[in-house]
Amino acid sequence: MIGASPGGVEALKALVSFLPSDLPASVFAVLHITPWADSLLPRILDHNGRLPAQHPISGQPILPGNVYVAPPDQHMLLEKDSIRLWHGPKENLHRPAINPLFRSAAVHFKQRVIGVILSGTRDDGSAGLWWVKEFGGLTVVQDPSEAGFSDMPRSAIEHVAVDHVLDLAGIGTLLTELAVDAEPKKRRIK
Amino acid sequence: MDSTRPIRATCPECRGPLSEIVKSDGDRKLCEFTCLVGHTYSPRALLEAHSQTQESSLWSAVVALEEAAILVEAAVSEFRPEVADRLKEQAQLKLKQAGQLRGILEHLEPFQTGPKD
Repeated sequence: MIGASPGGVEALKALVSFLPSDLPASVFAVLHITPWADSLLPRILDHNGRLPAQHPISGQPILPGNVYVAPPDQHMLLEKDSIRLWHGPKENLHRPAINPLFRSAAVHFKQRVIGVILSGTRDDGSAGLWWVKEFGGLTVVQDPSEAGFSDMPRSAIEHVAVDHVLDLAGIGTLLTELAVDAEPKKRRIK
Repeated sequence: MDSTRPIRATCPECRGPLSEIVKSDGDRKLCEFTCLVGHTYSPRALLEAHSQTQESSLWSAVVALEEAAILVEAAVSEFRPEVADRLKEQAQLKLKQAGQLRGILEHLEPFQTGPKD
């Protein structure tokens, strides 16, 4: 589960390039973007990584080895086995927003969740990461010195007990190792 | 531990009642604001959203005053001359007050919550 804002496209492009095609986990990405623009992000991530990337449709089952990108103007929420899209109230002036995804993932998947905060402005995403931690998940933040916009990573480090602060290559390696190690338990990467 | 308390301010997006939620795990503290319908803000997002609402509210006030003069212009011929003169004077005063608000808007600053450049 990955949240990003400005500078996030570059960070996500690099991060997916470090993930193997047989990743035994699902990746969920929310970028705080304008709600009225058709997002090119799935195509960009598809092109830059080995995992297929898509905007999910509401009710779609969660499958490993996929990158799910929240579509414009919809919150992406996780339920027990499926993805729900929701035109609910904006959070931090955004829809899609990072926090609803992280909260829903934390509640349903608990310690199987890895929350990652990448480049972005303001303190967006910190509250979602708090939920991941509170429900036993792992919290990972992009090294602020590497992030195009360091506010979001800095805020997460300040407010949440963060397990790992790493550069993108390090995050890619960590996610892959954790997913493979946890395969019998079917850990999902978010 | 979460604590939630209502605060004496409204949601910048819908004007619903706003509450502050503070989470604490002993070492760290995280604060969010959420309204009756579920608009939710980090502290920085709240102040940014408020700045936008504050500016658009003041522009609405400018409209309220400036359109008063237009309404007087449209309706003034329906009134007796002495009433019409008084209305025109009032309309001029409203335009002047609108000008003062425009002056305030020219110097209105959004909250600066980011690091200084």
